[in-house]
Amino acid sequence: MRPALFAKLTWLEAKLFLREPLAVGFTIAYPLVVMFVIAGVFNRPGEEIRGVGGAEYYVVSNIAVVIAAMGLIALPPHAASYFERGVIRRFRASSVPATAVILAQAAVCFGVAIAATVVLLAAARPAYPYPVPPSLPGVVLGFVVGLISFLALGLLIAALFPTTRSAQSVGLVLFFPLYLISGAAPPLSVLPSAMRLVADFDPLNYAVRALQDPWFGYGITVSNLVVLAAIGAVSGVGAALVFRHR
Amino acid sequence: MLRSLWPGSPPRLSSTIPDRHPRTRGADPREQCVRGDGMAAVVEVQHLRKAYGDVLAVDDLSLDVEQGEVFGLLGPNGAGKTTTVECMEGLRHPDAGRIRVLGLDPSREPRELRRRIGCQLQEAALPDRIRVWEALDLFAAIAPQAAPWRAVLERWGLEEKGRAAFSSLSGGEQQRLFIALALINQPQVVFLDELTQGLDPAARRVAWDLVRSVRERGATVILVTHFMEEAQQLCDRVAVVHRGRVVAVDSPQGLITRFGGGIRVVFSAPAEQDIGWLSRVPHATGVVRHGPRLEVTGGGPLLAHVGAALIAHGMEPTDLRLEQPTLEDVFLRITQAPASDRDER
Repeated sequence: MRPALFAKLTWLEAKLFLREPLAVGFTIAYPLVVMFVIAGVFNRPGEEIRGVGGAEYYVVSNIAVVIAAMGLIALPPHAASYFERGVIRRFRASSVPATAVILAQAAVCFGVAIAATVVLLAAARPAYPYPVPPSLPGVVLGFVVGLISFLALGLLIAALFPTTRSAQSVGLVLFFPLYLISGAAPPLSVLPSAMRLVADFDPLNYAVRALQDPWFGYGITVSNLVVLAAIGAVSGVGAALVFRHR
Repeated sequence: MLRSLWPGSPPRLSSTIPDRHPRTRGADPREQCVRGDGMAAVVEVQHLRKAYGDVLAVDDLSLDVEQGEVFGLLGPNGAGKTTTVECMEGLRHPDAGRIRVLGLDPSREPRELRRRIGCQLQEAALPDRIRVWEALDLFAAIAPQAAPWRAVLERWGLEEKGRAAFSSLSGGEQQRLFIALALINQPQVVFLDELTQGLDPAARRVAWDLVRSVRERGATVILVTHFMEEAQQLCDRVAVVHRGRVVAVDSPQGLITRFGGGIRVVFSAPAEQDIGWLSRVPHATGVVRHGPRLEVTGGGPLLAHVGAALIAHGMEPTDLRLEQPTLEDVFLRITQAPASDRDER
């Protein structure tokens, strides 16, 4: 497929994304509101979580909420609806392969996630003046790996639950529990030990820490990135195999 | 064989092509599979077979579609029409058999093929919130030879809907958009699958006119339908598909003549009139009187002979007319007849 055509398809997908209230609300507005509320509640002098103030902790952690909302709530129903309703068939009959359409959707999700993160950080800055992270490349790396991993997970959901309704339900049902034990809601340190055990199997937990560690001065933790990369690779390959059989 | 080398040789009897059928529209001869009888087959299907699990959708189906004709695939639901067309479009891979569309193998050369064909699919959609102009713009970008989308918008009467979302269009408007998309790359072969499904009668007429204008542009049209009137209105030739096979191929009129079981000339005459001579009119096989109504059954140019005989006997009925079996009668006869009665190919 020609790059110019892929660019056009991606631009169209971007416009379609922005016309989808649920996707826009959950990926841009929801993390912003949650961040303001929780950061406000825990913005108490003298109290620290993982060595930083409560406000800074939640500003950074809510970037992971953008990532999770993108991969679990925005992408699965959108991708699944294209298969369910015959949009993919329509495109394929005109020589636009399914892969190109799906990759255009993922690219849009990637771009919107960056925009939502910029909005989140810019909006938080006046209220909660967080410091610049000591390892900016580490934060960017954690963000990119975490986002790609969750987008791949979103495509796997769309592949395994090929109707809009089912993909949307599965995404929502996964999103909230994974969010609650990820460290982006209550800090891991206050979770009971059994819950913390479960949190080790929460992909979002690794995305949260992949952002927090370099931001809070603990450097790049390779194990977080490896786990995320593994989840992304397995999901991506799984989704590709299922899509290929359609 | 000698006759078939003559450029003006008549079409084969087994598949009569009406005279209005244009045969010589500008096709690149290198692209065509020219057959022994000099006709260019745009689509060739031989012994096509496709099963979904245990269900055999298409079973040894063969047909040829010639340059510039509107070719109908007519059959009940589940007869295998859509599967056949999807194999021609390269959207499905046959289990067995050989397909060539414009000389290309749809399974092996789908890209090259899709540049040159247009498809309107039975079950397809666009994203709900895509605008009409955006869809046309995107699909025009796919094909280098595409018409500019603004012109296409006007041509298909969608100019007022340019900014409307796909989901806000009526069924007829969506169908028009799909036809416009199928034609935007100026295809040589157009596949239309259940074109008028879900359209009201007025929108259906409009769609038929669109098909006629596509043919006039020189494209070959393959039309899938289970709607008899549509086949009769549009098709130069019709293949009746039944249980995954082609059971008859002919022009709609040819099918009616061959399988319709005769025609009837009907008129009114006073009961006391002597009409004994009617049964001796050439091509008449029987005369029945129902009160004032007379029915002469037979075949061939019966109407002309009855008319001439009536004038000769000083009768000038104002309601003289021909009643023909419909394609529906033919269709039911063919699909319900035992296998030995059909012209298997």
